[in-house]
Amino acid sequence: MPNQDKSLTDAQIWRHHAKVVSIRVNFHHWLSRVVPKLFVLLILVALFDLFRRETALPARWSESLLLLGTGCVSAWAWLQARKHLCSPSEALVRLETVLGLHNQLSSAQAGILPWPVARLKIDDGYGLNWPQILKPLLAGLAFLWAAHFVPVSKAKLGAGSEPISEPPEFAQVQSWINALKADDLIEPDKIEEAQAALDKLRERPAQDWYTQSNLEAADSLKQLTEQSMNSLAHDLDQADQAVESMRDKMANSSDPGSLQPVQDQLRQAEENLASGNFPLKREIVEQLKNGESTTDKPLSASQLAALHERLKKGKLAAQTAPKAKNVLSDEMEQAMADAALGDGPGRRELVPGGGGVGGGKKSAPLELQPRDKSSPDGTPTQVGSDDMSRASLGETLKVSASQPQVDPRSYLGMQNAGAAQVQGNGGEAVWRSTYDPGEADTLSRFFK
Amino acid sequence: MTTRTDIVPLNDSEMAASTASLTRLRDALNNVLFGQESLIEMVMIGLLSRGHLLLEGLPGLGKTELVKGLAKALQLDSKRIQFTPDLLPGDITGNPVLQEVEGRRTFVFQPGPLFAHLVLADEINRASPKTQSALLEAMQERQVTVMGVAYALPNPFFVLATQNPIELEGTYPLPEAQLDRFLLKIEVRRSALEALEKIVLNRKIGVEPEVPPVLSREDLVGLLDLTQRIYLPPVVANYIARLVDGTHTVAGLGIKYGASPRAALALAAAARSRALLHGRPNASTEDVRAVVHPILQHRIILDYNARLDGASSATVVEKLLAEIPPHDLERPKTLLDAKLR
Repeated sequence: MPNQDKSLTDAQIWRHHAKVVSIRVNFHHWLSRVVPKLFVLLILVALFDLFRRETALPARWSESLLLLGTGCVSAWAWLQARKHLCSPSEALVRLETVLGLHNQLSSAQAGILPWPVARLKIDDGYGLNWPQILKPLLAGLAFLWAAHFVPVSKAKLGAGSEPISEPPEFAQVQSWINALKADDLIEPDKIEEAQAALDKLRERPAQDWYTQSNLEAADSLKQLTEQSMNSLAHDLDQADQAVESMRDKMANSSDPGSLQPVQDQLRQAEENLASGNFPLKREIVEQLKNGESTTDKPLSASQLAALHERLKKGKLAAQTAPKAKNVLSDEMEQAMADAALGDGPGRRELVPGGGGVGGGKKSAPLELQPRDKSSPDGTPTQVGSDDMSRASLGETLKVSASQPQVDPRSYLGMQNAGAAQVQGNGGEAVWRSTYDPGEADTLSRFFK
Repeated sequence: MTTRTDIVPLNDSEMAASTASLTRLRDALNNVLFGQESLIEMVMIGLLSRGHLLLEGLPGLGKTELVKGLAKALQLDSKRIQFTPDLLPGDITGNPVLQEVEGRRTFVFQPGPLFAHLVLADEINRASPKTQSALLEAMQERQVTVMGVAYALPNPFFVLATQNPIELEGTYPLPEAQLDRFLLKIEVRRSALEALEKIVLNRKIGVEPEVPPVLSREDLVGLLDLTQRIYLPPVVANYIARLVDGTHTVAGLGIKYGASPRAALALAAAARSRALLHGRPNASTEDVRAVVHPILQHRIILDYNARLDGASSATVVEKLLAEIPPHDLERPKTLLDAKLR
């Protein structure tokens, strides 16, 4: 029947509207729960992204975390929203309330009344709460953007951005080890030990090379190697001189007694070379021992010449390490040179550049005040810092004589401790000091 | 959702006939009392709900006139009782009188003014509590008990009581239990300027307006039966339940004692009556909202703080309506709610 068909159509349309409304409401139940979680997730991903950039991890880690986190919070929000979902029947109630249908839809749904005439377009009375949706998301995205593009300190950049050059001590020690290897004079085991110590430092993470402990370790290795090289150079020089003297003695004199001092010198050098940090190879030590000996297989002149050449070559290689440097700064060296050129502390003309302690021919370095403020005994009492770059907070940079500023007019003469200065009238002090002017005025008017 | 219930909904002819009858009654009452359409609607709602009404207002606003007009339009027996402090229960219920019947002297019950379809209890708060409580039984059980014998009151039976809210000296305020017996407590307000002008033009002191009979007693009983067949959807019942429950549970309203289940029944009955009055076969949440003020505001007792803050029962009920939406569909935070009609 047409009426029934129409009613059926109306019912279908109303139910469709109700379904659309319920889907919309349910989506927003999910959205209202996922948005705060997404905000927190974006903050966390932003923090992770900063960490990732500092540690030079690949960018896909952040992207993966974002995707995984979005999936997790979406599922979590859906689980929470499930308890609040509305059915199409409930949405029908919403529709009839908003549209002012006097609960006709509920009655029709119950089969009591016919369905009202359907409307093709309806308004469910809901509007989007844009601030509630956009504020957390935009704030989270802003954090993420900032974390992605904010400059990270170059000191913390990892291998992914720019390679870190190793400390110069490493290259220096390596060059010495290479020189020793090329010379083929030192026991290979000891050279390997030095190489292993250097490699151990090199194997540490590049970003840790310039930490205080690593720099100290590298400097210590460098100094140890340097001292060993210097010691080796000195011992080789001694041995070389002894071998050359022995060769001369053997060529010019046939008296074995004249060789004794030279042999002692050679023995001493041989002992030092055998017991140093960089000991000579065993075969060379044996040759030196043979050089010491007059009875057992003494070396021939040609052998001594070959040994001399080898020691000389080794000495040159060991001398690639500089002798212990003067650690004073250039300014300090210059100041010391200037002081050496002055007349010394005995000179009485205590003016800048006049010689003596801190004097010299030029003005004293880094002097903050002219030297006209002298202590009562006439000797300068200023202490200056030669190297301002090493000065730290709280460090005494200067000490000078001064005296307290006393105002003689402030002296009031002898006074008794604890004595009242103003006696006042009886009762006067109490109300004058306790009440404010309005209250005092009221009280005085009352008692009048 | 619920399935079809055992209620047989009104068909179109029944709906049309009832609408016509009620329209005639409304027009007749509008000719008695000018400019009081909302008062007349509430009185008709109370009538269709078989409820008793408490009219509160200043003297001279037409309360008694309305009741008299109603009685004439419905062709019902009506009695008027002026309540005074010395009025005794027997004065309203009736007294046994010693009579000679068939040669024997015996007590014969002489019915009081309560034995009428429509009883106007004028200034009810001037009667003593003893007399008020005699009215209580009549209103609730629709019967009167005298000397151990119960006498049924006529059907239909309505009590329309009035009280003056300003002259409280020498009065006995109605106890809460008795107030709860009144379906509606209607505040009668003064007429607007236009209505006042109409009254001056059409009325004379001492001359009662002529009201034609528009419905018979049987017609009225038929309308009362039709009211019972108005469909109350579960969502409306749920709304009524939440409203009544809210008088106990919603915090911050300033209610010390909330409404009783009788209030919920009253809301349902009044919503049905209003739906019939507006020609609809089902009650709606809009009907509930329309009748919630006269039903709830005399059934709740405000706490001390609320009264100190100047709150009244009307403002508290208004807050309750704002707190409890017609449907309990939770709104997500990402959606804004449009103002409901």
